[in-house]
Amino acid sequence: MAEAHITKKKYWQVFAALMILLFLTVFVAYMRINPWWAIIVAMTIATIKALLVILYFMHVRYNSKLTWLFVVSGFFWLIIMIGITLTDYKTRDWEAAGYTERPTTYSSPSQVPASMYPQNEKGTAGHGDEGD
Amino acid sequence: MSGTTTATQTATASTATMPAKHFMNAKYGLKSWLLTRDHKRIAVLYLITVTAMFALGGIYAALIRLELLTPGGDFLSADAYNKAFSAHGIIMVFFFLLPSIPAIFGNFLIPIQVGAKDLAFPRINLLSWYLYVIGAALALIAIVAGGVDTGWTFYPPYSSQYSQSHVLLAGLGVFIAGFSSILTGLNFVVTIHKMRAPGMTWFRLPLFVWAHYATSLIMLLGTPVVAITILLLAVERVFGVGIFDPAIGGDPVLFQHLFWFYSHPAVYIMILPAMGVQSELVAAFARRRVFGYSFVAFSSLAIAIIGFVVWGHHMFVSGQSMYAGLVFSILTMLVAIPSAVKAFNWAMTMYKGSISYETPMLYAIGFLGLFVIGGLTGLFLGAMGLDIHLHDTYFVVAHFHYIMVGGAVMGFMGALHFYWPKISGRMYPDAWGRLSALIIFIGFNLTFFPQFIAGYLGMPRRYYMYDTDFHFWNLMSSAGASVLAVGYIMPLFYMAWSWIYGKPAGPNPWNAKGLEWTTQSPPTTFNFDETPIWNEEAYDYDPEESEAEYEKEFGTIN
Ligand code: HEM
Ligand SMILES: [Cu+2]
Repeated sequence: MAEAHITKKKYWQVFAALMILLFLTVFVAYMRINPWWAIIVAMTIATIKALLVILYFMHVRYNSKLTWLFVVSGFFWLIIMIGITLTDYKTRDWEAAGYTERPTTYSSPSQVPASMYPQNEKGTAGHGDEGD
Repeated sequence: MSGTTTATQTATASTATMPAKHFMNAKYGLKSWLLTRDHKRIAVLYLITVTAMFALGGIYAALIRLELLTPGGDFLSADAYNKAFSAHGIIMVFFFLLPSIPAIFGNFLIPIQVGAKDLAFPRINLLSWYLYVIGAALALIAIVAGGVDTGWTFYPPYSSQYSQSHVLLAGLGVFIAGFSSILTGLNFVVTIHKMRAPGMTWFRLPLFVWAHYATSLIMLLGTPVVAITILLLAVERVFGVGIFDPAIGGDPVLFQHLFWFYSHPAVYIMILPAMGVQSELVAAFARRRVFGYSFVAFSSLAIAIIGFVVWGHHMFVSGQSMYAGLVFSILTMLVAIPSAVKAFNWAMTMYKGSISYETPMLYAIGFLGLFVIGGLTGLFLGAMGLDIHLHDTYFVVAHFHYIMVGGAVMGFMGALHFYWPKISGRMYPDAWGRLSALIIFIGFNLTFFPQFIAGYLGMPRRYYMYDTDFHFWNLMSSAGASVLAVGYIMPLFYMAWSWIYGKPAGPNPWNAKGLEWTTQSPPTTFNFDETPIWNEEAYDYDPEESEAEYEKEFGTIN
């Protein structure tokens, strides 16, 4: 059913497009543009790549409405997960949770300055039942 | 009344004989089982392995209750106790309850109930059993090698940075067993969409099938998330990449978000199939069509969907923002609606029915009451203000045991007793069945009701010692656990006995409706001799006719 619509040529075209987008991603990553924009550009390219894979390599474009429904609900679920989780992060009181400033990322425990540790007043950090 | 109805059934049963050819004697030898693609044989494989895990988890429960018999820590060390409740939780959740009803009874029944020869992907079905066995084996190796002490929830940063126990191995076991669950869900969805027999329309499907459809959606949409979460945990533990540990730039609450995004829906993976069983049992033994069939069907889907947006009720005191807590608290109230729709509809089905009290019906009645208590106490916990007091106390433990044991395990036992004649072709002694159901009901309430009180009074969970004020309630609970154990061990014996000596059941020992009762018991490898055509509504029972038949045979009732 699906196979009938997709020619070998089409696969190669999609593959070429994916490769071009890949180079574009790397290129943009090395351009010193405003990080805020960099994220948007990178995510847009990534979305296009994912769409190409789903529609052509996974044959969804030529499949039944039911398949579409399942694919779309998968993404809808992803949005629920990320979206509702963000309602927490966007409204969280970091100072009350013991942080002196917003957390930054470090690649190993030894790099973290002591000032970055949560002020571990009893009950502010950690889950109650883990003991000590 | 019940005694006499059973007599009629044994009368019809004794005239039946075992069919000459069926799925169990179609081929012999270990290989014919381990390489089978027959959904019924795979169901039997699951039945054996899952029951073994239930027994093992039960042994750990016994250790816990033995330690809590006295306030002091005189039986297990603190460390051993942590490992005992972790092993109990991991085994019971991931290797018993999640696969129990779907992988055994769903596997066995869904193809027959929709009128198909097998599931859509028989090889994938077998693969899912192997994945389950590998996952369970890894978890068992972790437990034997020294155990896990994180609890079944694996909360970091303890699990990722500090625990000296076998977190990775147990995590890998859960990860692999997750794929077994995904594949089972996939198989069910495709089978229900594509393989229904002519005439078997969506709204003629047994509610058991609807419940499993909803369950499968949760398995497909939720399980990948827990798999990824465990993978992230492993990355942090092995490579020290800061994802969840605040000391290296992570956020422990992120783990809880991801974990509960799966694990709250997962509790519905455990209860929805039991709800499906409940609909079958109530209809068959009240001899009425399930009241509000389509409402019960759609409430399964509603539970599957709403169940995905309430996870934050596990995190009210975790450091999650107050605003998010508020949102989750409100959403949690919503999920009670479809659950209540079901409970009321089962009660309405029994109303004016022609009720008889064989073993499966005793389990169904038990389920109804216990599930309602479990669900309502869930609402207490979902009220954010109250949960500050109740969180991580024994009240929570009592809540989820009322749902998971009082609900899901009751459903499992009900299904086992209802479908045993279909699976084995033989009847078990109903009097023994009713006795064990009664013992389980009493033992269960004695075990878990005192925990509500101890928890409300402030006894925290997951400690091996407790204040002497709580001694009385713990004593009751430990006593109840030993009663409960007797109730669970009894079926092992009379079921094994009936496998050899039980009277042949015939195709339809309960005189129930549905395609599964039109084939011989046990069914042949391909279930039906030819593709069945179905032109009945679901649950086409007539209570008045049943009463009339009953009166003709035994005289008027009052
Ligand atoms: C009527 C719907 C339900 C509501 C409103 C509800 C609500 C809650 C809430 C608010 C908690 C968190 C309590 C706390 O930790 O402070 C909780 C815990 C729990 N519930 Fe429910 N629940 C419901 C149904 C279920 C079902 C159907 C199951 C299982 C089949 C279940 C299993 C659990 C488990 C396992 C926990 C504890 C997890 C842990 O921390 O170890 N609940 N429930
Ligand atoms: Cu929950």
